[in-house]
Amino acid sequence: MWRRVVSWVDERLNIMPLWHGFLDRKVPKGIGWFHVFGSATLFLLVLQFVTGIFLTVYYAPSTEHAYRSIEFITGQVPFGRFVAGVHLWSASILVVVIGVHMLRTFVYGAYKYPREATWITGAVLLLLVLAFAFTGYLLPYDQKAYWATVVGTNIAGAAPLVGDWALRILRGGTAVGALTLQRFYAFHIWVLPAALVLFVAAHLFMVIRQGIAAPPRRWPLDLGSAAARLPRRERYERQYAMEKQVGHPFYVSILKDAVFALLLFLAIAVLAVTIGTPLEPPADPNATSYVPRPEWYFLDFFQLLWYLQGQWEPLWIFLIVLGVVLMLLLLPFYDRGPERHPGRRPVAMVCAAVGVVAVMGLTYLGGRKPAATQAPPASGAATAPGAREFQAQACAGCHTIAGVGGTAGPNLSHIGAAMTRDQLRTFIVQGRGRMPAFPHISPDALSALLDYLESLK
Amino acid sequence: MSSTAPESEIKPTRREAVMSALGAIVGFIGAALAAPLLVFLFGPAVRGTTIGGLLGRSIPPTPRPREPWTRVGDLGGLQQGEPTITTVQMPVQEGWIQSTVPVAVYVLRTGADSVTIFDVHCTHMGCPVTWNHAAGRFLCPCHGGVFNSDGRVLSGPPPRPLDRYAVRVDGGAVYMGALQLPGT
Ligand code: HEC
Repeated sequence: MWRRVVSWVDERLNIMPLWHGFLDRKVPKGIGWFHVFGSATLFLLVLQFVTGIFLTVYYAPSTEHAYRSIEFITGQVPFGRFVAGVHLWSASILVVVIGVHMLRTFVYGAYKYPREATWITGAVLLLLVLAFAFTGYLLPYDQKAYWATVVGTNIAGAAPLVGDWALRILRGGTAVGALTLQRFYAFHIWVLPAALVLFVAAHLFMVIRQGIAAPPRRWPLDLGSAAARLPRRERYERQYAMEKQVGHPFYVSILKDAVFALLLFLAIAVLAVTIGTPLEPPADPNATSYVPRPEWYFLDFFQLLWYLQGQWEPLWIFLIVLGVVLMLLLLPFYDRGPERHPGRRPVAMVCAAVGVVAVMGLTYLGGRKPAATQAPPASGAATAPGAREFQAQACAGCHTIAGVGGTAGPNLSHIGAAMTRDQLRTFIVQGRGRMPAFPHISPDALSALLDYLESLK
Repeated sequence: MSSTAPESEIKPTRREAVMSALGAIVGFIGAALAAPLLVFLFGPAVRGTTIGGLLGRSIPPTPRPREPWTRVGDLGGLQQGEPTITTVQMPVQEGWIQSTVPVAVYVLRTGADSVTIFDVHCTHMGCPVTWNHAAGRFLCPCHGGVFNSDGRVLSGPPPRPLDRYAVRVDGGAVYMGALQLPGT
C-alpha cells in the first residue's frame, strides 16, 4: 500500500532521484559522534516549534491571565505538565547543544573557506535562540520572569546614544507590564520563529550544498606538485573529492543522529515529568524582598556585572556584548589562516579554552544559591541564630561563607581565625571603606552575629 | 538591429533589465511597508524621547501615574529619619488599560513639612532595594549596591542616587507626583 502511494506520487513529481541523491551522497570519512550536535539542534528546534504551537492553545498573554493559564496548563490539562515541561527543558538543553555544536565547528576549523557563510548563519541562529529564551521566560509572568525582564531591559538601556530607545522599544514604554508582555509574546511566537525558519533554511541549504566539512588532517592530503598553482576553489574541490572517495554514504551516519535525538528526547521527557516547570509566585512589582535571578544561561552575564563597576560601567557592558557578538559573527573574517587541524592552531585553541572556562566559571559563580534567600551553614545549634542574622541583616548579600553568598566583600568562611570578637564588633558597627556600618543593629542580633562569626575558624 | 543579434548576447541584458525593474518594484513596496511598520512597532514606545548620552542608564519599571498627584498618606503618621515602605494605590494608564495598581515606594520624612519619596528600584539594574534598619541603609541584593537614607550611593555599582518622585505636602496630607528621572 505504502509503496503504491509512493510510486503514485513519484510518477508525477519524480522526487525519488533527489531523495536517493540526498541519502546516498558520499560524506568524508570520520563524520561521527562529534557531528550529532548539529542535527540535535535541529531536532530540539522542531520540538520547540511543535510544543510551542500547542501551548498557545491554552496560554493567555496578558498580565492578568498569563500566570493562571500556565497553572491551568500544568495542573489541569491532561499531559499539560509534559507539554510545558518538554518546551521548557528542551529550551535549556538546546542552549547547551548549540554551544557544543559551535565548539565542535570551531575546533574542526569548519568555519573556514568555503564555509564562512554557514558559520555566520549559525552564529545568527545562536543569537536568535538566546532572544527566544529571553522573550520566552517573561511569558509565565512569575517573579523570576518579571524581575529578569526588568534587569534584562535595563542592560539594553546601557547602550550609548540609543540605550533609552532600546529599553523603551523592548518594554513598549518605560514600565514593565501589559505592553511588555504583549510584545514579548508577539516576538516569541511570530517574529523570532519567522527569522529562525529563514536562517535554519539558509544554514541547512549551505550544509547540504557544500557537503559536511572533512575532519581536519594534521598533514593535508597530497594533491601533487601541480596543484599548488591551481586557483583556491579548484584545489579545494580536488581535496574534497579525495575526502569523499574514502568516505561513506550519508545515510550511514544518520543513524547516530537518530540515536542521539532519541536519547535527548528521553532525557527531556524524564525531566519534564519529574521536575516539570517550576513556577515562582506570580509577578509582584512591589515585592521588595525578592532577589532577582536570571535563568541559568544568563547567569554568567549577571555575574559579570559584579566586576564591572564605576561610572563607565554602562559603556563596558555595551562594549562587551557588542564585542562578543562581533567576535562570533566575524570569526571567519579575522581568522583566515588555512590551517584547520586544532594541533596547528594553538592560539585559536587557547582562546576557545579561555572562552569556555570563562563562561562556565561565571555561570558557576553566578549559580551559587543567592545568599539573601538562604542562611549560610552553621556548625551547631548555638551559632544557628547568628547564621540567620547574617542573612537577615543582608551581610550574605556581599559576603560568602562556605560557598554561599555574594562577592562584593571578602570571603568570611574563616573570619573567626583572623579577627577577634572586638575587632569584629568594631567592624560591623563602624564599617570601613565599602563595608557599610551597622550602627543601629540590636544588641541581641549583634551578639548572635558575633557568636557565629567567631565560630568560623 | 536587435533581431539579428545572437540570442546568447541579447538575453542576459534583457534579463538584467527585467531583474532591475523587479528589484526596484520589490524595493519600493518593501520600503513603503517597512517604514510604517517600524514606526508602528517603535513609535509609541519612544515618543517624546531624544537621543541619549555616551553612557546609557537604567529606568525604573514602575508604571507612570495617570493623574498629576496621588495621595500617599498623612504627614502625621510618618517617622522622621527612617524611610518606610508604603504602598500607594495609583491610577495608571498602560496603553489601552486604565487601572489602579498598588505601587510600593519608600517615604521619608525629612523635616516638619518636608517629605522625600523614593522609587524602590536600584539605579544599577532595577533590582528592588530593601531598607535595612540596623545599618540605616538601603541595600540591593543583586550586586551589593548601598544607599544612605537620602538615597545617596555609598558603595557598589549604582551610577546615581535612588530616583525620587515629586512631592506635595498639603494640609497634613502627602501627595506624590511624577517620577523625576535625571535627564528627561
Ligand atoms: C554592601 C556590601 C556589604 C554588606 C551588606 C556587608 N559587608 Fe562586610 N564588607 C564589605 C566590604 C566591601 C568589606 C571590605 C572592607 C575593607 O576592608 O575595606 C567588608 C569587610 C567585612 C569584614 C572584614 C573582613 C576582612 O577580612 O577584613 C567583616 C568581618 C564583615 N565585613 C562583616 C560583615 C557583616 C557581619 C555584615 C552584616 C551585618 C556585613 N559585613 C555586611 C561589604 C559588605
